[in-house]
Amino acid sequence: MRQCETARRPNTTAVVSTGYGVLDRFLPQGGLHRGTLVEWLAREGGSGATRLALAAAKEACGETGTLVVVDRRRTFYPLAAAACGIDLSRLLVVRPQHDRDESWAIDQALRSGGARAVLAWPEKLDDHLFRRLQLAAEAGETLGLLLRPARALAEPSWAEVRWLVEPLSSLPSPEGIASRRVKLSLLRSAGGAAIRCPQFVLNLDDRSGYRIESQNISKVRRQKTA
Amino acid sequence: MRVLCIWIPDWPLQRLAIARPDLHGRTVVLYEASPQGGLKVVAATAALGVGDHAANITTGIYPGMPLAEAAALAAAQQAVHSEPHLEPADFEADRLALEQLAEWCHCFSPIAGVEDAPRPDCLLLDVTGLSSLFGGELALTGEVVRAFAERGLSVRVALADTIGAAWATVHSETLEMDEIAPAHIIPPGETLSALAPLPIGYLRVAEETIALLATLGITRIGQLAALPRSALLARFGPQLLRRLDQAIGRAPETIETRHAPPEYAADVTFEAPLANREAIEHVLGQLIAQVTEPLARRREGVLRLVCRLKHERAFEDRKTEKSSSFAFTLGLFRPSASPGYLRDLLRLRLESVRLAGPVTSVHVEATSIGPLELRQQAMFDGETNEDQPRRLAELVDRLSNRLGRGGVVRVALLPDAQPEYTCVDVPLIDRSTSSPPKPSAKKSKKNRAHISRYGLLSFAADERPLWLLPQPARIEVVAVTPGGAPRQFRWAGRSYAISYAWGPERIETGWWRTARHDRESRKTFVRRDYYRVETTSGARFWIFRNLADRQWFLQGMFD
Repeated sequence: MRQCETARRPNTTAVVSTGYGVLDRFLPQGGLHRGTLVEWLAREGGSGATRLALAAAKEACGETGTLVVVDRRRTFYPLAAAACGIDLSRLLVVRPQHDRDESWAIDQALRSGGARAVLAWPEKLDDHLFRRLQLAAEAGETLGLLLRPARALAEPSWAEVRWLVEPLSSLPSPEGIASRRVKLSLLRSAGGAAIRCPQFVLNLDDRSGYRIESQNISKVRRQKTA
Repeated sequence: MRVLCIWIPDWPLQRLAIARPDLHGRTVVLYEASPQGGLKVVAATAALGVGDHAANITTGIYPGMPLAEAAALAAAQQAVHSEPHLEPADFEADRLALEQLAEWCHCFSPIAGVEDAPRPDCLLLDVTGLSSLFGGELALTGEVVRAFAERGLSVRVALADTIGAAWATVHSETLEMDEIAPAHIIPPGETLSALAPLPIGYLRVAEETIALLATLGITRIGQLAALPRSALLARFGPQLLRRLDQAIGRAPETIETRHAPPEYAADVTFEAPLANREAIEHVLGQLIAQVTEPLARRREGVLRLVCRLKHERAFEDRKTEKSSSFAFTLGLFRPSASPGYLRDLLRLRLESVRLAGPVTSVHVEATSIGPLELRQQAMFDGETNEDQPRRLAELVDRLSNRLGRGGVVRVALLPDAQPEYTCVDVPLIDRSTSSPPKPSAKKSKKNRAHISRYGLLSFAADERPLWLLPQPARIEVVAVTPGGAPRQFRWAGRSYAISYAWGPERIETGWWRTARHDRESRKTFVRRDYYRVETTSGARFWIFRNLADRQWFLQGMFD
């Protein structure tokens, strides 16, 4: 199975860390592959999904690579991205006017090979378009980071890795500053480990985290197939 | 060094006399908007193109006079002949025309340029060692005056050792210039003695300096040169000394020459109008190859390419002599001389265009060019990381040619405390018109703590939201703690209970914006108390209370 799924991947693609050690350990080959798509699904705004995706983008870009953000909704705030460690001199913001231009721009940015990572919020991705983006990422050896609403759970995916991001209530800490936490479910990872759908709790501020030895995995799976 | 200074008195009027022969003999008044408000006269003449314009202001109109007054005066005196012509002065056109003249002056000297002034009316020529070609300096000046007269321009000319001396001499009214030789030549080495009796005003220094020197009883350049330098520097700053030194040859000054770039353009007119899009694309491709071929030989490439298609005129249009043409511009991030690449960009652009009708002629012109970057040819077929900058440039070209100039941007930060104004777009194409904006020096006191040593605001992760509404959205806060922090709010039909709130962070700013947007003054002054809140589900939002009207708004999500 793993051979089948990994066969089409060129050997040259390097592995990129997600920015979180605990996640890397559970991904096959220890991270995300260049030339593939990664999806982050969230049920609501303010869950921290963009921050997680930016952490991976930062790893993918390294010291010299360029990040392309396709900001169709015009709500991306570069100042906050800079606070997350993104170098603004190596950030291109693309602002398409409508859906058609948006998917065209994502495709171009992935395909060109000029950018190391592409971050976008495509709301609608049909099977055909999704496949095209995946091929574009492969052609350009670019990491595609797609942030999507949770209703995409029911849709087929051409992403190699698909996460569900859910915010968690902060725990009060002695300093009085609650540390920010999210729950992450690995819904899909091509060529992945035998254990399906591991779940993690991540601490966004110090990047620590642990895997939940969870019992209610079946619940997530039910939602996935719903 | 020998410098020839050519002064064209009343240059805006002289230019107009050439450009608009239909105005000859009429009273012409040029005006501009005065910084104090209202319109004022820049230049005026009783009869355009007749004799010396300066001598012609017998109408009582003088520069700086309010336009209404001048118009009344002119109308009263000119009623018999014709209406006086009033026109706004076009300083940009004046400058461009003067630069063209400088270009033409290359027939006298290879180094010819326009004087460095906000509203230039002098040309400067370096004629060192050239006078013998014309049979002496007197003959040279005579030749120049004659050549300008042939172009319909009356000029005054001076030749001296320095730019400053030539400029001062040509402007000084003490010169007795007659029609035959309106030129003055200061022999080499006699600069100081020639300048000494001239008023300080001819040194090209600020009005205030002249006035201040006058109150001290210093009015002549000779007096100034005799003063101790250190005292002058301390009292008047470096400009006065620099101008003095430049005039008497102690400090260097260069003539800025401009050579107009050669034109890279090609066009073709069809015998029969073309309607087939593929055929038009093909022709455009050929023209592009014609334009890029000479560029490529000079290792230069296109940065901006303008394509103009002329349509067949419809019958109604033919009567009105209205030509219908359609033009578009291809902007590039990095110069390219590859016809294939430019053709690709062009095709992308043409896809989004609907042609109004059959095309009769096509014109392609490179309006901006730049040097090609030399790249080592790859030794092996394998693609390396060195390809990335080139590919990125190509990506930017493709994206911005389809999405428009603002469609692909870099982002620069400004030291502005108001979240909506901290980031500005820097378009990547047309770099000539877009330099990164200068950070405004004004900051709110409240936020000075955030300003790092670079003068920009810097934050930790999660101090500012990754998802920001450009226009804050009204929310309804249902409950507030005694400390003022919100407990529960409603937004877009949903209710959110808050379990944690951090804040307030007060942002008080924008007071200086009132000067620029008078009508919106109340909007631009902001006083807001920001809270970072976490709902019971764990999602985080950025909301604020507007202190002016106590209303609550949601501005961002910590996504």
